[in-house]
Amino acid sequence: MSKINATPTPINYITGDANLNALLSVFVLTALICALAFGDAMYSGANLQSMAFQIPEFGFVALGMMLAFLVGGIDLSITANACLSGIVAGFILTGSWLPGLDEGMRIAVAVVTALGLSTLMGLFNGLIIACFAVSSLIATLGTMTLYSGIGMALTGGRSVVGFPDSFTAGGIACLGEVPVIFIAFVIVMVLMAILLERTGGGRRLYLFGGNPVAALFSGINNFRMNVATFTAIGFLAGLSGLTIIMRVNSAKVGYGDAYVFQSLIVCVIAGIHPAGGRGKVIGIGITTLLMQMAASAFTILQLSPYTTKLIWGLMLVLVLGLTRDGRRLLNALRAPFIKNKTLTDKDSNPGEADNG
Amino acid sequence: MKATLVKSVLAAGVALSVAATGSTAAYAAADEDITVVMIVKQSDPWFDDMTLGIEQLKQDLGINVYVQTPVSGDPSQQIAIMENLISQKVDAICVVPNDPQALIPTIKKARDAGIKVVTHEAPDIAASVDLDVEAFRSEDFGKLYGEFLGEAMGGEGQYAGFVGGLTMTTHMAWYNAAVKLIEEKYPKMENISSEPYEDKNSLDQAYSRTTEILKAYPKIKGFFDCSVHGSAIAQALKDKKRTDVKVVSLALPSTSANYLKDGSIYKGLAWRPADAGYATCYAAYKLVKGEAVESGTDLKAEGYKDVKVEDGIAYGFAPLVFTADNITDYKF
Repeated sequence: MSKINATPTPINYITGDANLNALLSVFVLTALICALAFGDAMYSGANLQSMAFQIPEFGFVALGMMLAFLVGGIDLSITANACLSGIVAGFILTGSWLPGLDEGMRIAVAVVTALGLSTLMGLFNGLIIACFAVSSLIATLGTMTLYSGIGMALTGGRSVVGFPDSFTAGGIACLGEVPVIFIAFVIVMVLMAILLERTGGGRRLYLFGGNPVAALFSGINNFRMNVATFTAIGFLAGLSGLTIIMRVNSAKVGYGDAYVFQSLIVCVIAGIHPAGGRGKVIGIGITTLLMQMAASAFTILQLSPYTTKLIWGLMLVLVLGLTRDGRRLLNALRAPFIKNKTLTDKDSNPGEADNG
Repeated sequence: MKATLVKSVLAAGVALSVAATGSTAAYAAADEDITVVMIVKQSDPWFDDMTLGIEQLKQDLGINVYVQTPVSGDPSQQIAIMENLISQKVDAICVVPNDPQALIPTIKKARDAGIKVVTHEAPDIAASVDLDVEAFRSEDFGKLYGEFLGEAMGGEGQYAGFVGGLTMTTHMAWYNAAVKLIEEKYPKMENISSEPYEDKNSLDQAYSRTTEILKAYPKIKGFFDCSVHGSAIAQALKDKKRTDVKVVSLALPSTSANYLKDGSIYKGLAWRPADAGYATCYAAYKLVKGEAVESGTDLKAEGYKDVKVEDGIAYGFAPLVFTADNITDYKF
């Protein structure tokens, strides 16, 4: 027990974090209930595969929102950014822009342009926030409208359609039985976890998010932190945009607007602290799975959208409640075994200030 | 002898009843096992009325037919629902697409899995689905605007037409059909503009455009609106005390009832969502049973009793005309 922070093992990586404890309990509970209630309808290969196809486009948005949360901000422009980069990629793929390229080149150029553009849009967000010291809520509300507006101007509100088959094949391709886009999503998640939790830059990000003033005085360049974070979010938005157009074979303003709100819920449930500085990537992974399982269950149960919203709300309250009380309970249970040291030393994670 | 007779009668009776229960059971099981799901655009009075129609179908046929409503009008939500339905192996999916093009890959996936897909209000992608069901041909519906406006204006005077946006293909088709009919049937009427005005699908825009037109063309005598914002035109006319100007508009009972009742909208046009939902799901049921839907097929709903099928689109003729007298009968 006393070596929690000294040697991180896969087990105490999760059990050492009250948020993840609660989350994992809810996840296991939901999984069991689903197994009992739906059986094959939920755990058939077909349904699992269908869930794996649906997760990535939303998952990238959730990862982006997580980054924004980690620096105590929010990014409302993620899906607008994803749509605009998707639209630009769409114009290149259909050959409306840069005609004359052969199919392979078109795909390569479209992918690079989409990711480049989305990263630039993220950089633009970061620069506005850092240069003018505006809150990210206001800044990204503005750029959300701006990016959607540019998309509207380019498309007139219509869909860009007719991509090459070799491009859309990526959206349905599988390695064995696992969708390629899902594998890509997992790889990005693992890379992000390593960058955030195992490198100096990641540590500085948590520190900056948790207490920007302290970060400033410890020599962290807050300007650069903000810009880097929002640029990275832009890149993730680009990944989401590409996944979307690959899957739906069309690009349009407004696709995935509902993801912004959903990603906020996911971040809070995943234990990413809205005020910044706390939360793990794996939390987003578990929560996204949870959301997807619940969505499948809701369809099987033929629930109305109002009931669906109600259940999301309940789940939010449940996880928040478990997190608070769970932590208190955990402390109470541990207290007899830990005599000489203060509890806060044990429970806090790197960069996490315990105020529970 | 007597005993044998009784026995044989009994045996025959038993055999008959076994056969009877057997056959009814088989028949009922076949229908009960059919699952048809309608995915609507969003939750609003229009689609609530459509749900009523589908509940009626469930009662009439005894099949498992139900409605799925996305949380918002975002096309990604419809795709997610559809993906989940595919992995549940339902028999047919009906959908009123928010963005028809975006649904095509998922529709293909469903059809590859042996699921029948029937759309409503999506003639553009009829080639990608098993069937598209439409309430009417756009031209036929558009003509009604011209017909009623001519009737209201006594066949003479200046008029103007609105669409939601110039890019909206159905609105444009209605507009063109209306103008064409007026040119032929009411030659004394004069369209003040060669292009339709856009109300951008907003009440504000419809209202301000109307006041501008009233200023520029004080002699104007009539408006028609292919989007559902004619109530804003009527309101502008009331505010400017120009109740002599007639209005014909696409209308919803929920937003246009008061204007129809006081006569500031002469006639409202629509179609009944309940009937459209009923016909669409009934068509899907027929396809699942392996029956064809072709010209002359009866889809059982009012206005769809004798559909015309062309290029994978089944057209009914189900326009609904609202007047001051019947507007209170509808709740969508």
